[in-house]
Amino acid sequence: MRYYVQRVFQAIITFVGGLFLTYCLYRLMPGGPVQAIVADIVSRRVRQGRPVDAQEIGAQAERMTGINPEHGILEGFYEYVFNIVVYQDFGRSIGFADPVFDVLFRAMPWSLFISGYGLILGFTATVLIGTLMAWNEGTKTDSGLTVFVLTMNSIPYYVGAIFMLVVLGFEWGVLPTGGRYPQSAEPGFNPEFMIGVAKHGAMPILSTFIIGFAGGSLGMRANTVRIMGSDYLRSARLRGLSTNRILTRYLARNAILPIYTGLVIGISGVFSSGVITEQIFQYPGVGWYMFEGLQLQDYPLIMGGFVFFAGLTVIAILIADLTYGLIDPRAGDAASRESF
Amino acid sequence: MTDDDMQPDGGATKEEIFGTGESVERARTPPAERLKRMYDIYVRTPFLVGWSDWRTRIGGLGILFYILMGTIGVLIVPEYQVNEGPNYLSPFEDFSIITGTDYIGRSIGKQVVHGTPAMLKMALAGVVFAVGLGVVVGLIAGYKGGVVDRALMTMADVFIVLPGLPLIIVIVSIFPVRDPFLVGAILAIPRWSGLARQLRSQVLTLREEDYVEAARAMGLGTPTIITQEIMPKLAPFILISASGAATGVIVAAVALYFLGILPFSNDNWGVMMNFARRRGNAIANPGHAGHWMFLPLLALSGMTFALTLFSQGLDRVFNPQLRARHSKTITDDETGGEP
Amino acid sequence: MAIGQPQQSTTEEETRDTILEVRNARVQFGMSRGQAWVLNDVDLDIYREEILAVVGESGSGKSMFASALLDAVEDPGVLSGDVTYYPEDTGTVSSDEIETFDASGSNSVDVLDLTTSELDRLRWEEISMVFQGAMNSFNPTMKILHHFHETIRAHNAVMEERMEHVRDLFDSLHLDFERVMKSYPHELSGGMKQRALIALALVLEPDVLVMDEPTAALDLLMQRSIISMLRNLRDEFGLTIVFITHDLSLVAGLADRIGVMYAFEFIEVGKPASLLKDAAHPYTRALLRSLPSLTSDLDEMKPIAGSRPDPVNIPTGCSYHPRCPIADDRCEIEDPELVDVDDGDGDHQAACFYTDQARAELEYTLHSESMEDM
Repeated sequence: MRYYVQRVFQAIITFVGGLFLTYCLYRLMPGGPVQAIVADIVSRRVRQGRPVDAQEIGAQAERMTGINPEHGILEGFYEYVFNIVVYQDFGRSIGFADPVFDVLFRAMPWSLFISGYGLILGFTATVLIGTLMAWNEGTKTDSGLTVFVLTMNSIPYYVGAIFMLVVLGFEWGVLPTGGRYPQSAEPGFNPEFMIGVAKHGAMPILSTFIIGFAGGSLGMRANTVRIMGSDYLRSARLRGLSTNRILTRYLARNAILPIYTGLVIGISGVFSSGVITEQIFQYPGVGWYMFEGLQLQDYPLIMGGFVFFAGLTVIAILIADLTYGLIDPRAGDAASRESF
Repeated sequence: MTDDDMQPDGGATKEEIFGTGESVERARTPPAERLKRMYDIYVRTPFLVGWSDWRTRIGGLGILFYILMGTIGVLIVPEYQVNEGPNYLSPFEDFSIITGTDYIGRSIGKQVVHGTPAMLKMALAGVVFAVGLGVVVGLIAGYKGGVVDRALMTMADVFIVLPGLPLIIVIVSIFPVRDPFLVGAILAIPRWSGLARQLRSQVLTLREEDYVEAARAMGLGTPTIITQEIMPKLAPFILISASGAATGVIVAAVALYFLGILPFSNDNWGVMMNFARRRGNAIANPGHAGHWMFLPLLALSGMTFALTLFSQGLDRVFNPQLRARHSKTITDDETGGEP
Repeated sequence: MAIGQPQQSTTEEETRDTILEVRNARVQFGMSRGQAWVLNDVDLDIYREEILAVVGESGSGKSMFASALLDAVEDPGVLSGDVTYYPEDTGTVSSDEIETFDASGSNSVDVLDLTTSELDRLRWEEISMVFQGAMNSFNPTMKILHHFHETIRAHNAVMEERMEHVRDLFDSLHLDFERVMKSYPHELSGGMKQRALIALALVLEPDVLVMDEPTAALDLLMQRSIISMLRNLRDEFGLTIVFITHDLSLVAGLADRIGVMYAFEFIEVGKPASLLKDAAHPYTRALLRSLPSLTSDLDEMKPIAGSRPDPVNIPTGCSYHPRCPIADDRCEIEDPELVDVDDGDGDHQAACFYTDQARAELEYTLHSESMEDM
């Protein structure tokens, strides 16, 4: 129990810490967005001959950035977090003329759809390919797959995405090259929309899958080989346990443990590379909006997107962390985790 | 938070790799002798061990090729110019410009060569920043322990959790960087914390070793112990991380330039690809301007391939012991707790 | 070649009732350097309810012998020869076992001829094994209890009845049933894990328990206490125990018989009293001489000269001849069989042509206190 409380507590601390760091960046950076906006407002007011009232300008800047420059750092940060937590108020998007939260909340399911599917597929492939290599240890299948995995692993993930886009999207025209679903389709449970979603999602998911898959399978292979030679596996075989039980309860369970933690790193990697994937495929998810925010100098949107990604990463890592305690009984052992 | 889970299998590089730490005498030997030993420990031995694996060999040669291309190659290959050939010349059409040309007739191949120095600068800055910060924080946290350790590790945890690319977008939105060294350093921000975490836990195990304790008992200072007793054991691991950091930085840099997230300021492969996409419509019309985008992409893939192969090879060479060690620790855990 | 046919031995006395009969057992590995023989034509009878200690240096083939008894030699090793198991005729065998093994009408089981499913039943129900490296014989992600449950379930035994039996076993082994069953392997000490493993091996009431270096990773006191528990278990459950070890002094007080292995075969077999006090084979004598003791001088402890034989290239003739001080030309050509020494009652056998000379010329003194007791 202590383990879980500790982990949750730690997650909150690191999340708030990260938020504070970026908040400070925003506020304090000379020439940073808040200062730039304030200067902009001031000069405009001077030009228009209107009075330069610090409070009014502060309020105006807050509308634009979600940050009131008139408040102290800690006070302002508290307000910022308070608004986010209680009112889901991230400020108002300048470019999309909507509350940032609404913009991002609409985009969120699509990002999760892409990243989640890609990640699950990638993880499954990791386990299967790793096991396949271990099972055929030392054969041609093994070395062939090793070379394949190594190559996949060493080429930047978006190379695959670009190739797919060029070949499948433009040359052959089999898959759409942008958007989340066909414009003609009515969102809802109708076949046109569903098929459209699948088609539009196919390439982004596939390229996310490539990120998620190659890295872990060599590790999975090594684990499986090690466990296949372990005493407990031999003992289990002699005790006459069924192959099925040995495969699931002994081999897979124990070989996945170290990989599972690799999945944790994978989560944050996949989410954050979603920015690039979504941009390449012109798929309007959170990453795409963040990118658009950058182009439009839409600071609340950028900041909101960042908070979204940070929150998602923290939650994902936390879930993986907590469930790790469930699948590995040794996880709660603080002493052994500390030294290794 | 997920620190200890995040380790690759294995942990500290131990005395199995370089032989047991030589005695504390080393601290008192004359500088020339000491330099030679440092060379042996940090350069010669890892080199020889690394060379024994074909992956490291090919990867290392590949890296060397890119370094030569970015230094000597720039001097040999003349600067690209407008109207060297017809616009949008396809590759292999004219063998004087075998790589083809872009929208104003500049040779793509020359552009790739002259884009290399910026790539190398970014990679170098990224490695120095990520590895430097990671090593310093990791070593100090692991060796000092206590409050220092906790403070540094909390900081590292914050960075581990921050999503890399979105963080970079935030930073770039505030602070439009142009200098390749600075770009490299900023792109390496998400990378130092993991390394610091891993190094710390390795130092934690190393500092309990007999010979480190002996050095401490002999009154050697912390910096001496760290540089002479602890660092050599961690060198291969750091080298692997450095190669990983370099890969990460150039992959991210090209992507961000390609998509136009980073402001253009210098020639590099990402900028070329960006132009190819925007000007040449290379994605929608690859027959026309595809080579303009794919050649830099190929150069990039070659570079990451060499780096990955290099670190994979190092991992192979240095990890058998680590794997064995790791499984041993698990065994120890299991047998622990004698009543 | 064979030592005492089972039919003859049953007539002699009760203890000579053979339960396992090993004939011409060979294990070969294909190695890059050539064929390796890691068990070389072994013949041995194991008697009902005895404790047989198999002693040898590491790499003498003793683990292979243990695996061969259950036809559990790991790939790529290939086991040939005969291993015959004689189930007890009396009604202690449960009815379903009789179905499997006595359907043919005979009361012997050819272990190497069994189908996979028959073999699965023989193992653990008749012949059970405790491994070398016992520390890792439990699945680290499973509670101890589930190891028992899955084993019972895999053999279709009655759960309540078996778990009742496990409680008895835990009592005999001085284990706290509730605590151990609820634990994961990493939460137990080495000694507890080892005893739990013995209980797991005995859950289906096998007649034979093969133990391969079961105490290697334990401290001396724990070793001793497990040894004494083993004797109790044998008496309580009528077990036959084959105890593989490199530590002669450990089993001197425990075993009913000791078999010494050298170069992948038995070179001397006998009761501890006569084998230890008056070993007949030069190797056994050298082995006894090399034993450390609290009281002996270092000078007296002599390591055996030469190196242990290479499984790919076993010496011709007597495999010990390159290291044997009394070997002559005959030893280089002819391979000695196990023959009776002493009075010829089959109690003490050695595979050497010159046992008398060995006893006369090769000296050793017994120091170990437990051996003095014999």
